Amino acid sequence: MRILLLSLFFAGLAAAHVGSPDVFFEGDAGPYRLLVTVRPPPVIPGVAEIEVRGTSPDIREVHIVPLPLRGPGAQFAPTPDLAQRSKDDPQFYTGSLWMMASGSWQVRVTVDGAKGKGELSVPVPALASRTTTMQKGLGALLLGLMLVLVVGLVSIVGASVREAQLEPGLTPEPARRTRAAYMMAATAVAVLAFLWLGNRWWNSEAENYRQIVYRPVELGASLENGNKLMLRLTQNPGWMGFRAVNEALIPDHGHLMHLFVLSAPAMDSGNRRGLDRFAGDCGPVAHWR
Amino acid sequence: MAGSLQFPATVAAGVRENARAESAAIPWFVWCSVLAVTSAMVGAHWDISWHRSIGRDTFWTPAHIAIYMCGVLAGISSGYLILDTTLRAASPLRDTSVNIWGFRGPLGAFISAWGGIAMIVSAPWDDWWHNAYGLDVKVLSPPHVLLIAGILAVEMGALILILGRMNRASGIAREKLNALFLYVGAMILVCLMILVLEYIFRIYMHSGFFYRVVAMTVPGLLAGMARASGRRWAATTVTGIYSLFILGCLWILPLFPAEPKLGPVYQQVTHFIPPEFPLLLIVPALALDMLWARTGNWSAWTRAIVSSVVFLAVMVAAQWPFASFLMSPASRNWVFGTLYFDYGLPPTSSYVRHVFRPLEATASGFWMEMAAALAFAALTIRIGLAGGDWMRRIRR
Repeated sequence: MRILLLSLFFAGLAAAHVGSPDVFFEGDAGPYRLLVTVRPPPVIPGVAEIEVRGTSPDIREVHIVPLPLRGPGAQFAPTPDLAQRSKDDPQFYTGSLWMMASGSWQVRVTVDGAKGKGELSVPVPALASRTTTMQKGLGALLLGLMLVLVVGLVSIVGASVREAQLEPGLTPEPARRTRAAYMMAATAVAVLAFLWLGNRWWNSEAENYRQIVYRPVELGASLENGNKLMLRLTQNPGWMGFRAVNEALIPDHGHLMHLFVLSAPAMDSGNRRGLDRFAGDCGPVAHWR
Repeated sequence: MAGSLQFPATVAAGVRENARAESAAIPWFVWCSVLAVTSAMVGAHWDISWHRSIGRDTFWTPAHIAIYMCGVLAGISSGYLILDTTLRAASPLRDTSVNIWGFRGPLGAFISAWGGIAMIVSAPWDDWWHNAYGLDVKVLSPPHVLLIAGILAVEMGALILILGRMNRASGIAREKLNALFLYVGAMILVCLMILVLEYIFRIYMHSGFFYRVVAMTVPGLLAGMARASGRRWAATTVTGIYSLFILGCLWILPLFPAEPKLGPVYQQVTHFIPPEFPLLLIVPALALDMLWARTGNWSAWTRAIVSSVVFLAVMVAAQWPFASFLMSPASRNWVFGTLYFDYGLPPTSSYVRHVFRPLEATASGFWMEMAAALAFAALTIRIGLAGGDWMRRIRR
């Protein structure tokens, strides 16, 4: 019972953890051993930075291309980019790739060299990871220029009412000046209303973006019938969108989840289960002791 | 004329002399403004095609340069006009200028200058927006709206700049300026169609929503241009130039190779993807010109209401069956361009399957949209007629 309560307690606190946003991958592209670093963009769509280091000097060219990890788009790659060879280190290549949608992507690295061609795919999670605020200097500059635009627009409306319809050489009479003043006031109100609406639009876009910034998945755990562990997503993170869980999660060698159960307090025996649903038969609790 | 005084014969003679001197040739700053608006529209369509064919770009693509050249050319022409008129006491434009904050110049020059500044302000804001919320995949974002407002202001400025001279000119000079006036009006129509691009694809052409969008954007502009121009076939000319421009893009862009640099790639693309076949706006425009030639003495509201019925009925009669043709295999050639697809269009999309996507779930929903289209057409035409009357009175 202590073990059960302990596992439920920790399960109740369970949260997914992404780790570092950068991807470090070592693998073989055919006969070539490669060390690949992918720095995903903090906003999606955004530009990922790619670094490829070959462990041997017989590589002639490196091409890189981004693809979704699965789905129809995984079958049709865009034209690969030629990675740039470093002038200081001929075994080091760099490039930039655009990632256009949140989800699971792969960077396909194609190598051509003295030993022929080879290919390697590096899985990359593409998720918006941060929100940002405008730098004070840029904000002040844009605010100042916006004021110039607002005052300029109001003044242009005034001039168009006051003088634009006058014959050459004439000056506006008082009635025309008064009408121009009223139009300038009305324009100012209209412009301010437009700016208020624009600000609401900006806030709405910012909130929409905030919804898709990555947050750990929260799980709720319960034990049914004494031996059935139920794990439920208690809150759909916004970055999953309207996708079903089984579309947003990628199986790891065939399983959506791995469950590790350890005995307590000694932690000297355990059980590992691969689960394909968010419900699994844990077996008799006594078996865990 | 309301708002002006009786002036002595010497001043009147001076005005006539001014008009004769001005009417000799179209000055370089007018051509510069016309080139500016053309550059913006060529650049905008080129940029959209770039994003549909290649996907990714940098700030300094040729398409972006063409768009920002609009602001540069507008800045050069309007900057020269304002500074020369302000600083040179003997400037011939002094008498035909307006005064803003102590600066003098034609009203159109100030509007163009405003537009150029708006375009420049939008650039760093757009760059920040991409870094904060991601590289954009849609036309309308707040910085893009400011950019489009700037482009529209440059176009309006060019229009007013031409108008001031046109309304003071006569004879052949007036006719030349009138032609340029209608050309700039056509570029404004091209810009408005870009603004609503996402709502006027051919898959929506059997939905009431499509006709409501067209009714909100097109007939008011045609009414204003026709009223200000006074030409018999003004609306037809504006829509004719719009059609030729879009056909030029449709037939020229696919001549140049392009390949997608972004994934996922659902459609094989080897050349630039062009815009769709132009809307058949020339047909209702022709009908409106014929109506307006016969209803000059009607009240403005009567004209607007009758014009809205004519516009919508003729538009539906022309565009609806043509849309069916555009969905048929007979249109899948380089002339009508329905065989081109963006690289990112999945094979299941209505566009790729050549099927309409109805935006109204029920017949009543459709008819409500059509009623709204009629109301918007009447309202915008009425506003356009008032705007046209105002433009006829522009002298500076």
